[in-house]
Amino acid sequence: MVRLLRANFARLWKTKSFWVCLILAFALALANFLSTYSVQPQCVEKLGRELMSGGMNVVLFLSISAALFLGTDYSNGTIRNKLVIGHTRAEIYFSNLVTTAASGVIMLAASWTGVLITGLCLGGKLGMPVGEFFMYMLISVCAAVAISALFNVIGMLISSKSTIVTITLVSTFVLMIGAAVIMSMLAAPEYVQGYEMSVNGGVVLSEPEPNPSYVSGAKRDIMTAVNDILPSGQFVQLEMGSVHSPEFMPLYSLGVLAAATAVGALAFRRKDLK
Amino acid sequence: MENVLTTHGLVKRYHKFTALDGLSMNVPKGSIYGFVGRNGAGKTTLIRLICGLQFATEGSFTLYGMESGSGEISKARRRMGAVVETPSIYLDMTAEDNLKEQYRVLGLPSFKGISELLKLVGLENTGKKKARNFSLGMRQRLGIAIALCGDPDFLLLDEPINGLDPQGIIDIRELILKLNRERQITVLISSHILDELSRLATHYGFVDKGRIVKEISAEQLEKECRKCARVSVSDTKKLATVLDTFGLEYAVIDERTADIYGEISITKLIDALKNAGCELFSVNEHDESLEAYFINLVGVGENG
Repeated sequence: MVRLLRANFARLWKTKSFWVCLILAFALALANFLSTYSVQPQCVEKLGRELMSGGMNVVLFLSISAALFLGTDYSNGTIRNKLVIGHTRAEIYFSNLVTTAASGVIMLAASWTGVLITGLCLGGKLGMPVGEFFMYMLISVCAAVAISALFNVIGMLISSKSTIVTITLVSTFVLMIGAAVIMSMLAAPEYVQGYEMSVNGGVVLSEPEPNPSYVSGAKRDIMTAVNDILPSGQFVQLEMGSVHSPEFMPLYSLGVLAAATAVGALAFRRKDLK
Repeated sequence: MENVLTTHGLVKRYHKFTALDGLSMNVPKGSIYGFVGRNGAGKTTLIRLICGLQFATEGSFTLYGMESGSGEISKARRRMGAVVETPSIYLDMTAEDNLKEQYRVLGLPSFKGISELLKLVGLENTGKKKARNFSLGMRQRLGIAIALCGDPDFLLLDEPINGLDPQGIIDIRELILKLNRERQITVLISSHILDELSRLATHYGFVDKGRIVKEISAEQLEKECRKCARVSVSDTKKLATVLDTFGLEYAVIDERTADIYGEISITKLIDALKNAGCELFSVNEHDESLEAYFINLVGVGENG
């Protein structure tokens, strides 16, 4: 597998789409930070939070980069060159997984680097305990690896490059939008404060009323669990600064990685290739 | 004779379609094995199975003595190179970068030998030109160069001359002959362009409907191919009537040409044709072609 990893990384290094996505991940994170800074200069005081806010952008660029990288082996037929000379399917699957995950982590690091350097130059501070900051970094890295595993399943089981790109992008948007919707539903307050106009023209507060949009009971537990387990949900929580169960999130990501890889590797093992 | 590849009743089914139906064949070491069959006969399917791209529904094969079901088959495949259907090359890389990538996949310690390989396939002057800008022939030669990385003993080429121009066909033919003669590489070459195959192959395997109909050496085939007289006449319909009266076997090639098998008296034929109002332009001794042999063997099917 080391041979395949060497070959994969050499190819990744020469792949234009990877570099374009890497530069865009870096540039977009920096642009977002500078845009926030122009409105709220005090944001540099909470640099740690700013660093964690660009995870979903990285996922978007990773999805494009991974789909093009994995799809090329099918569209150019070069996956055959690996099998013909005796590499096993497991070796091919895992080497692609490692390469995709590494490219995700590299993009994440690129998005942090620009913000960190600029923020520090602007006199910024982390704004959170170092331990908490490293925990958030670990959550981000694990989530990026888990989402890479999902992209790897798509990229290894579908033989058409254009279909891989389409499905990967659609999946990314579904995951992003789904996580944002869940997050906003969970953020709805349990009670809402009504306003009433008094006879003398003033405004008085009414008794708090139950919010019909509030999600409660088992449905709330399920939605919370889904948002904690899915990498996109973890990124959205990091972005909004309200991480539900940080100590478990890396474990959830490892679970997603293991489940996706088990399904993908088993299906790829028996897949008929052309 | 030692065999590089032996297949035992290989069956491959795709849902209800049977691509290979108990195919058994033997590829002798050092041979150029012409794998002959119509489109859809199962040639590419067999090559996919040997290369590990697909799995047989039933049956097995041995490659360099290693059973297909065993873990050892991966080791045997390291002695193999293949070009399956289209050449497997990275289109956004140069010829040299493509070979370097394959060297890495093989785990070779250095890039020594790449310039020799490029020279061997005639791509030494392509410089920084990307493979996507190569002609079909150049891509095919690059595909073969990639298959040759790691010095394989056995080369599988699936329809390597499809779509090539005459010069491209000659280049590939000479390359295959060179590899076989100078490097003693065993070559399995599938094709339905029989005339071209007859210039290369030392052994043949005729496949039809997923089964081997016959395996034969080129030497034996030459002996079995019947001699015939190729005649050129003004009207082959009248010729056919005359030949029917003689009770001779024949094959009409076109409106003016036909092959006559068996002993014929030219004098009697001329007289009979003259009486039938048919003019005889020429008579030449002619060997039955590989194409005719193949048609005799498998019959004229839906594609024929």
